[in-house]
Amino acid sequence: MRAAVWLLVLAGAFTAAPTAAAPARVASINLCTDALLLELADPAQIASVTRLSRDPALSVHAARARKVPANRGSAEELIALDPDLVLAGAGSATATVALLRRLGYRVAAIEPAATLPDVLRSVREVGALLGQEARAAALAGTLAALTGPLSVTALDALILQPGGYVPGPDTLGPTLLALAGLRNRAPDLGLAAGGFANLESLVLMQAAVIVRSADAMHGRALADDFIRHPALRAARLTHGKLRPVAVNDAAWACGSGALRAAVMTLRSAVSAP
Amino acid sequence: MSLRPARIALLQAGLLGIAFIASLAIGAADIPVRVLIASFGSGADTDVLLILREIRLPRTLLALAIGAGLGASGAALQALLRNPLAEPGLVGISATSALGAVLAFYSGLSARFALALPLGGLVGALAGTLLILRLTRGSAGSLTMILAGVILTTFASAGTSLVLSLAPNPYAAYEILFWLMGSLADRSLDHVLLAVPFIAVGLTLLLRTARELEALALGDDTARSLGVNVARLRLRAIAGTALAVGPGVAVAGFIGFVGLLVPHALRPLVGARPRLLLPQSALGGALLTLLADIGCRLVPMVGELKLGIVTALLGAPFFLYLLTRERRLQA
Repeated sequence: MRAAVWLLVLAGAFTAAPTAAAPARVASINLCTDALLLELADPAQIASVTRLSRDPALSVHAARARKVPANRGSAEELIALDPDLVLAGAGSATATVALLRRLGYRVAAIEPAATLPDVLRSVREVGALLGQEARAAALAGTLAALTGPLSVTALDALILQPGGYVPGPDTLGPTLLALAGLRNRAPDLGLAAGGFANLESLVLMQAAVIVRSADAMHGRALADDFIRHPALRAARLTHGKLRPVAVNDAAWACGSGALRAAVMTLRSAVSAP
Repeated sequence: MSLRPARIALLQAGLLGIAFIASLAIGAADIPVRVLIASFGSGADTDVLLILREIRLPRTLLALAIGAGLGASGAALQALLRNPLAEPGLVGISATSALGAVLAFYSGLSARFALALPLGGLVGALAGTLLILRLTRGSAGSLTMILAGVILTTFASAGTSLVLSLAPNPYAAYEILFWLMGSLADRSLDHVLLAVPFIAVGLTLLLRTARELEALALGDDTARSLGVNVARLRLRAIAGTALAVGPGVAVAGFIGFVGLLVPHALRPLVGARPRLLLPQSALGGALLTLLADIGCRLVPMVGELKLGIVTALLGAPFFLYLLTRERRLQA
């Protein structure tokens, strides 16, 4: 009996080994799958991430990304790299993905995350693909622990990106506010689905917290002027409202472990007197 | 006849006053006029007063100043180039101004030194004005001038798009439309302070050249015999145009056709003499630009229509009409 069990286990181990074996070299061609790959894989497992991830304005893992080869997301580079697995974003770079698949490469297209369950799902999915289930389970656990009941005294808040863009439910923006215990005012501006806020409505709005993009971008753009407009500054001075909190967009742009840092930054900024 | 220009000026000033009030009353936030008046009276720093002072007043002042600069420089260029189709947008000056401003802004120069923005526009405008004079020298033909203007505009606009595409900030590429189609949305009093003093100096210079530009219409030699220093007059008109156009483009982007529409609309009313036409065109340019900007705010859409789209929609058909009329007259 015991021997039989052993036999079964052994047989299982042997038959499972080829499929469950962790891919030795994994490349990512999407900023968001880059983040998951950098968080979950063994360093030796990472064949390449996109150049975008080397930019601290776009990725919180820039330092780690600089230590691995970068790609521009082109099929040519990937063929030269010859990875065992390619991670791509579902719905993006579809032509590249189709080409790579036709050439016989194993490509996993990961759905972009817009809610916490999405994030947990993609963390577990990529963890399984990499053969790093334990690490993925641990990360998913810390992210799942972020949920808490919305306090009765939740402050009103709004996320404002350069140019006055208010992110909608297709992004993690609303999730970020909810996890930080803040009430999203975007629907009151008619921007439940996301869109550009107008300056006059922002001045009139009685929000307590404005979550604005941290000045991580290089160089200047007119879009930055919007957040710095004197009317917003004056509204803050005269009414003590519209308190700005800077959060790096890169921290919540993708469904990855970085989201935790964004939630923590926001929570501590809001609870500070 | 002598009373007529004065009456036209009064009429324009009256309309400007009405448009000014309308411009303060109309905006993205639907604030009833009653509330607007009440907040003026209370003197307290309310949100409504904040919107009036920090958002609607700046764009109104900018529309007036930029429009006046464009109208007057249109009339001046038409006299200087002896060509009825001349105007800062068509001859390429607005486009070179935008390129100068874009270089100053996206290089980060204006972040360290705020005046770099209007100065960038000014340098671009000067370069454009000098180039167009050089390219049209010795040929008063409309075709040469328009072709030179088209080429200058195409080149400078391509340069602007290139700079914006290469800019390190990823949002820059989305701002091509602002620079090529102009807008006064969300400008602040800072922008007023940066542009309006330059435009005021430019307008003064242009208005003071008006009398001598009138002599220039008779030809360089006749003007000289009337005691006009033609070379100096040219320089003053160039400097005036560059000052009246460049810094405005630097804060509001490329707004076309105002300098064409306004002098032509006013010529039948006040005559073609620059001495009368120039100040009237300044008033008319201010009025047209302010009305166009109010129009931008009234169009129901997400965000706001670009000001340059409105002026181009009004101006381009008018330009075609002028072109066909000129051809008919020549035939």
